[in-house]
Amino acid sequence: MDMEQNSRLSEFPEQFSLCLRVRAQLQDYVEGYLDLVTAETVRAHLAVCALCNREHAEILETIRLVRTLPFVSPRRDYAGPITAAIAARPHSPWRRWWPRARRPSL
Amino acid sequence: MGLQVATHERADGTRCMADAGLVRRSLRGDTAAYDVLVRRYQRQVYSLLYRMVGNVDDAEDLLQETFIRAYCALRTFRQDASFLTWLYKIASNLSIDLIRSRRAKAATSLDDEIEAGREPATHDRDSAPEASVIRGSVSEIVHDAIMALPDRYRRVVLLRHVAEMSIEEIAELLGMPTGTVKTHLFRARGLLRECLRPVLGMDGHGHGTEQPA
Repeated sequence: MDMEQNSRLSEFPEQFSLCLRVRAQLQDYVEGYLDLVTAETVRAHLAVCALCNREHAEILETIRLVRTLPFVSPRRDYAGPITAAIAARPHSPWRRWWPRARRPSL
Repeated sequence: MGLQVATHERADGTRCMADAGLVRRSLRGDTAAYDVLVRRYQRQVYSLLYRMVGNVDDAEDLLQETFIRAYCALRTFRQDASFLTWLYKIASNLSIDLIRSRRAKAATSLDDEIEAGREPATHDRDSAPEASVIRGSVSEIVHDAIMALPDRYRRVVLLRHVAEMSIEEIAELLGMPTGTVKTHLFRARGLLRECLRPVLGMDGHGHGTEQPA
């Protein structure tokens, strides 16, 4: 909570106390860890408090940004080396398949 | 051979073989089927590994190890979870092992350096060449923010939101109480939110600029 928000909320002590309680529960709320009654209290508060609603939205947005990070590609395609490494293992069931499938054409 | 396998339609209208069919064919010795699985998921698994361990060489070694271990355990794969989720769990285990062994080595070498009276070397993540792998402004900022997190926070946030493991699964994997995992996760998200505040809502999915009542 930044200083501007603090000063606005401190003008209304009851609201401030409720906001503090809700904000302490927001992470559990996002994870679905709250019981139904508490979750409903948080939901109702978020519907009427723009500051807490903004904090909730920022948590969700942070999670979304992590979840939707683009994939990074390895420097090469590892399918061939991985299959070859598996086939080369002493007890690989592929030992009887791999040489035929992968034998280089002469 | 006439093997019947399920296929599903992609967004572009082409059909591709479902994972379950490819797993069955791999178990019957069809190396091409396992190649398809590796090609399908290597980027996703590599991305998790790269962000967990923080460098390209270790991530690529672990990528190969992940698919080799997955193959060795293929008979134990139960299709109540997706193949990717299963791969993520194997990759997570391997990266946690690597991070632990690195930490043990670092502690030993730090002791050696101190004993020899030398200034310990520090690792500067930002100067590593792989720091510039990610391109694109918001993605780059998010990537950098994740990489700047302390290890214990970074691994938990990646396991939760990239590997999509539950808090209980993460606790089991890391050998920690669930309360500690929650604390690490919530602190990680708090730190990320502070770092990402300038870009929250910038790509059209955010909460906008809501004004206080």
